[in-house]
Formats: sequence, C-alpha cells, structure tokens
Amino acid sequence: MEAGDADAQLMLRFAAGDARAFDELYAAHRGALWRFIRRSVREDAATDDVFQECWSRVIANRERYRPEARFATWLFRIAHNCCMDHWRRSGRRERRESTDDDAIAAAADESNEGPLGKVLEGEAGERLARALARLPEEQRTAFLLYVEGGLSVAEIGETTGVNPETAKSRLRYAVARLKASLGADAPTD
Amino acid sequence: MEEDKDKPFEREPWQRLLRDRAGAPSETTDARIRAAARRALAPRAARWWLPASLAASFLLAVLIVQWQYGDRDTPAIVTESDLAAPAKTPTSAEQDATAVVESSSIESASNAQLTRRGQAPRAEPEFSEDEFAAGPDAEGTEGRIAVTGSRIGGPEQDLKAASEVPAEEASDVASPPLLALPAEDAPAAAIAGQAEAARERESAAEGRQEVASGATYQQTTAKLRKPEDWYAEIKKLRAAGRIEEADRELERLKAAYPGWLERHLQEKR
Repeated sequence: MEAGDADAQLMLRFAAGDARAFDELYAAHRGALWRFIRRSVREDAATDDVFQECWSRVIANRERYRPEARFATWLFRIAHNCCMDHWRRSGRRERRESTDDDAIAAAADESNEGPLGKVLEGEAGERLARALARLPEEQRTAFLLYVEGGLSVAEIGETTGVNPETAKSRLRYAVARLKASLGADAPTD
Repeated sequence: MEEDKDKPFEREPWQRLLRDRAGAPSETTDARIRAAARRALAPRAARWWLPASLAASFLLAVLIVQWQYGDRDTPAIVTESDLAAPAKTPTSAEQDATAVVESSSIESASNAQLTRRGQAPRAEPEFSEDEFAAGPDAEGTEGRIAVTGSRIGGPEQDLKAASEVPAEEASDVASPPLLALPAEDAPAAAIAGQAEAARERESAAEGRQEVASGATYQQTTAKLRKPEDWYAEIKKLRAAGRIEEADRELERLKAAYPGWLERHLQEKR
C-alpha cells in the first residue's frame, strides 16, 4: 500500500470524526508543508499565518475530500492557493519580481563568485535558499512542489493549473538555475 | 522512459539541503491547529441537540395551543346569553344548576357594581325555618323583608334596581319608614319599596276575590259588628244629616239582625 493511500484513509477517518487521524496526518505533513510555504512566502510572520490558514481549509473541507487523488496533491494544492491569496492580499506581484529575476540572479552570482562572498554565504543550504528566493515564482513553486511536496510532474501541472509539459519545463529551468548558483556544491543526478 | 518523465531528478539531495534551513512550525501553532480540528469535530455531536431542542419547542407550542383550544369548550364565565337560549329543554336538575349559576353570576355582577359605587357588597341572606315561622311581625324581619322583596322580581330586577335607580330617586320612591335611611342604603330602600308594592298587589288580589262574593262579604262584615254599636253609628249619621246613608245602614242592620231593632225599641220604651 502506498503512503498516499494511507493518508487518504486517515483523511476519511478524520472526516468521519476521528481526531487522532488528523493528528497522524498533521504529523506526517507539517514539516514539508511548512518548508513549502516558508520558501514560497519568504516571510516568517506570513508563513505562520498561511500555514494555519492552509490547515484550517483542510479541516473545513474535510467532508468534501474525495480520495480520487493523493492526499498530498490535495494538501499542496490548498497550500498553493493559500500562497496565491497571500500574495494578492499583500499586493506583491511576484511576476514583476521575476521580470527582474535575471538581473538579480546575475548580480548574486557575481557576488558569490568572489572569495568574500563565499565566506559570507557559508553553507550550501543557505546558498540554495538564497538562490531559490531569486527564482521566478512559477519555477520556485514547481521545484518546491516536487522536492518538498513529493508531487509528480503531472500532479504539479494539476496543482498549478498547467499541462504537465509546462510543469516539467519549469522544473528543469529551476534546477538549472539552482545548480548554477550552487556550483560544485550542487547535488548531482 | 516513463520513470524519467515523472522523475526528472532525485529529490533527496535537494531535500537535505533545504530541510535544516526552513525551520518548523512552533509548538503553539501545532497546538492551535490540533485544537481547531477538535473544535470542528466537537460541534458534530452537539448538533444533535439543535434539532432535539427545536422539536421539543415545537411540541410544547402545539400542546399549549391545544390546551387553549380545549378550554374554549368550557367558558370561564357563563353569561346571560349563554343561559338565555338553551339548545334543548333542560331537565329539572339542569334548571336548578342553571338557576344557581345565573343567580351567582348576576349577584356577583350586582356586587361588583355596588363595589364600584363605594358600597359594601350585599351578603347572601340566610334564613332559618324559625324566622319564616315567626312571620312578618318578628323582630328584625322588616329589613330582611326588604331583601327578600328583591327576590320577588328575581335576580334580574335586583340587578336592575341596583344599577339603574339612583340613590336620590330611591329615597323618594321608598316607603316612609325607609325615607329615613341614609343615602348609601338607597338601593336597599328601593328594593324594600318593591317588596311593599308586591305585598300590596297580593292583598289587593285577595280583596278582589272577596268583593266578588258581594253580599256575602257585607253580611259577614255586618255580623262582625255588634248591633248596639251599629245602631249608635246610624244615630250619629242621622244627627250629622247623612239621612240616606243612615237609612241604608239601618236596612243592613235589620237584615243582619232580624228582630233586634224591634226588641231594642221595646226595651227602650
């Protein structure tokens, strides 16, 4: 039995009134969901709000849940919608930010190339976090859904509302940029 | 190929790099979310009370309405109109019960009117057999006759007299002994007047019966007189110049006591 099926059963039990099933679900997905939201929103205060909003929607929509797709797909679609709502509320236009993404990324890469930059940046994880923050929103979301949410390319396309090819393309662009930022510290396939 | 398509690159190395940097939700956030999940489940059980309480309220309302409609069959106050038009001929027992209810209701209405006028409501008179046997000359009966006189006209007249006759008129209408009554006793005086009138009507009726017998009445009354007194009255009439009247009385005396006049004259001679 796949883990996704187990999560779907837990969600059905929770919808039937089993609070302990929710505890199991929450324990299994809280870390990945928190990291996805944290990397997407990039604000500590807003991360907590969006995280609670996401789980509130899970609780409120428990009776509408149908195990047609994996629970993780349904959960991260809700999380993605919460992030979109947050961006709308805050008035931030990620797309404008991404328009200047190339110039910013280039500047960052240039700063990282120097010895002082490498000392300041420290570990590869921190460098990856910074590089991830500089990615366009669509590419960052696709990368995070793939890495943190464990979604497949098709599920990413379904969650973000694009076809699988577009999702796959965004994913490849994201990985290429991150590898370029990490250099020799980048994971190898 | 299919695996490459769904898995463009390995997740694990990227997850390791990201995991330590993003942190995790605080325990407070965890507690809030778990509590929200339990709160969401708790009302499910409480929802059973809502339809139950609604059903109980509806049932209570229906029972109250039924109770109210049930009371309509037995009216709280029996009015005159209820008693005036009976649908069937009542039995003697029903008549008695109706009379009691009517009397009590009208009596209470009369008392209510007296109370509004500032007078004390009349108490229901109580008579013993001894008082009835004592007759009209018994001590303290006069006032009671006034009260019982109100019974002659029935409770309707009693109510009418109490409500319609003003105190001043009542004192004028009442008989002389009752004229001395204070104003607050005016209704009682009016009632006493009615009782007196009723008694007069009764005695007049008796008198009419006696007049119908004509000569029998005169003979009877003539025999009650002593011939000596009668003759003395005739002599007075004659002395007064009422000759015809004296002659009529003399004829009556002769008829009542045949031979007495002759004997009386002989004795005088």
